[in-house]
Amino acid sequence: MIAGLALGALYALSGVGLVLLYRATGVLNLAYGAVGALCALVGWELNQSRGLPLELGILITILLTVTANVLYGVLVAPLMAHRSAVVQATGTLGLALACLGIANWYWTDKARALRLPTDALRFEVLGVVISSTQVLAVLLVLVVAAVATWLLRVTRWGTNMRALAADRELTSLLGVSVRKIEALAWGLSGILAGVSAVLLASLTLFSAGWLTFLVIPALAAALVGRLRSLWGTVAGGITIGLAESLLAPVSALAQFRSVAPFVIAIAVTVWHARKRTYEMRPSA
Amino acid sequence: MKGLKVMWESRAKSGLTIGLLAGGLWALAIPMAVDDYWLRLLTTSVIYVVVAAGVGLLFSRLGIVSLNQIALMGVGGWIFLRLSYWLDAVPSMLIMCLAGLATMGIGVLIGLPSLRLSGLSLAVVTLMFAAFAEIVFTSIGFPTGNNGWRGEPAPGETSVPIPSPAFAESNTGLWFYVVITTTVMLLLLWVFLTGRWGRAWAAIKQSEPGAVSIGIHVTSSKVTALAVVSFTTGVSGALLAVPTGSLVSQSFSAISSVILFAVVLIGGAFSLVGAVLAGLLFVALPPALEALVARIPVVLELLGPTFTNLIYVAFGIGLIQSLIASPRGIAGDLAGVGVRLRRAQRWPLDPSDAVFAFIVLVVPPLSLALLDLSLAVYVVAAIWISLWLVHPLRTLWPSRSPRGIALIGIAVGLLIGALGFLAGPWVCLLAALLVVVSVNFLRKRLARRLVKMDEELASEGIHAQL
Repeated sequence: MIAGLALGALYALSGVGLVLLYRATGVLNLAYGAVGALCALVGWELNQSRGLPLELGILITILLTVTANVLYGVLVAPLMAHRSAVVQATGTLGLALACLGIANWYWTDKARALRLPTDALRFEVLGVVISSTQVLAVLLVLVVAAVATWLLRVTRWGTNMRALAADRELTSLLGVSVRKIEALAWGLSGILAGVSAVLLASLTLFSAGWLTFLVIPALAAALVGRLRSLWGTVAGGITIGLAESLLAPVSALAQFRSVAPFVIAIAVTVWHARKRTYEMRPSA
Repeated sequence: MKGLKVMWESRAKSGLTIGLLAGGLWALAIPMAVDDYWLRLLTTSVIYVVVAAGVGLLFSRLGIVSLNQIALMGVGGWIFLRLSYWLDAVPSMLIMCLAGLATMGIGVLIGLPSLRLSGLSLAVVTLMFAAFAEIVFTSIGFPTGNNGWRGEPAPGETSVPIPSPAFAESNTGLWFYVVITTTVMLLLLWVFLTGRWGRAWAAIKQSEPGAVSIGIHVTSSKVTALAVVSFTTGVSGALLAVPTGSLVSQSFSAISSVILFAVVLIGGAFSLVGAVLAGLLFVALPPALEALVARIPVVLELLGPTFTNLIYVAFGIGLIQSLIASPRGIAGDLAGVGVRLRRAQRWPLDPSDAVFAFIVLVVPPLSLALLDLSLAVYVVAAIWISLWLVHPLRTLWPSRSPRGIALIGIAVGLLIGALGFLAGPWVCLLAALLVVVSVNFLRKRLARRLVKMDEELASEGIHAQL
């Protein structure tokens, strides 16, 4: 249950990263997990074989995800900015394939262990052992969702981002530096990608293929929030995490529990498709 | 009926005839030219050509990004394996169609709700289905010829593969079986593409509101496309199960659906040539590179044993590149080269011409089939060089008769071919390069001299006038 809550919080964190970028630039980043995985592997490698302290390794991971994201966002994404949202999302699949290829080539698809110092810090509440990584995950997602909401709603940057996603050309006519705002959104999303990759690697499994496809529950969470609502995404992510952990004791269904995000996302899609009331536009 | 007749008389007809002729000849030639290992690989590539053609059709005609085609193949294969155990008296072609129909139902079920929302949600939902199918396939496995609905051997039992049809037992028989089924599936796609539905898709691609205004039901047109493509994909999944009577879940991972999408865009989503290229890239490129690198120990040592993963980096970059810069992929680029050659008047023949298609598409497989592999290469080289020579020679000797020029061209081509046969490939290549470069050089010099003569004549004319 607690594990499910923490896992769900991480799905939600990734989902918030996806929704933030989508609302700001109109790009649904399917390479979210792959970039995080590759950068986490680099950080791990530096920690393990170069003997860097773990904290520095994690910092480097986050810096790398930010760099990779910003590079893609500044160099590649604008070339596709005038195309449809599907094409832009498909473009990020190319990035995902490239990252996964490099990760599988250098590190193979072997599972590794990433121990965070917060893992060792455990305490017991009502007879349940909780590690502080789990607490960290839950707190982090709440803070991040709140900050992101504030950023998008209140600040000037956020207004610019939402304007950008609605109409790129019009926004640039208004004197907003489109490239700069885009780079900012990609960078912020990159920070979230790095953090969630490190935490997911520590809480679940640390392998490139696995982390790449963790974009799927995150996407499911984002779909629950209609790719628009940050708090809807948080709720969706936590529901998915809880559903997965609640299915674990049922032995007949235990092996299918990773299917939960798919089922929930399909149900939500069918629910939305019932009336054709909205288009999934980046901002509304 | 009238529509069919119009279709038959249209331009598509000559393309279809040439395609069928060339494809048939290649199909005959390949089993004679390659060994068993490569024949099996190429057979698998041909199966994936249908799936690639389906992905390409959805993307190029309707802009639909469907990322679950490999998973649907797995669904088709699973149903086929189980049905062929239960209905062992029914011919396998029929069971394949049943599996295709069932896959069609599932494909439409996945696509329908999200199609009503947006293209993006369809892409996301299909990607999720691919991941979902991977999990299900790994945990329940593919059925073999044992009891129970999962068809999995009970403890102590050995797994029994489903027997394959009698004519598909040998590798060559299997090849023809696959090629014929594939051709039928591609023809099915072609019939839809050139018929009423194809026109509806073209209208939707132009403008959705426009299509609605002329009475096209957008969702049902899109669902039809999904249904046809799911059907052919399911049949190819069943086809994949025919050779061994079993399947493994590793072939249907979620990432392979993504990779397939990438290679379809790299090969070219708009044409059949692109689909063939995609099939080859998807199935045959990794083992081909492995075979190549195994011979070069330096590279192997540099890249390590897992270097085939680097192909995915290339595919990823290729996907982005073709989205941005070359929407028609390699096949489109090749067609572009043909057009440019025609504009530059280098070739005496029109690349869209039947004779050209015959020489380029039909002669190589024919010589591969009839001759020894090494001999065939030189024959093809000789023919291509003599063809190439005709036009430059005509500009060099404008006074000569066309027949004389053709004879000189053929003589030089034959000489180079014979040289290759006697002295080996490198000499042949060198000689060919030498001929091409020197003829081009001579031609350019001649052209310059002609321009100079023209100028002189013109100035003389001016003087005379003055």
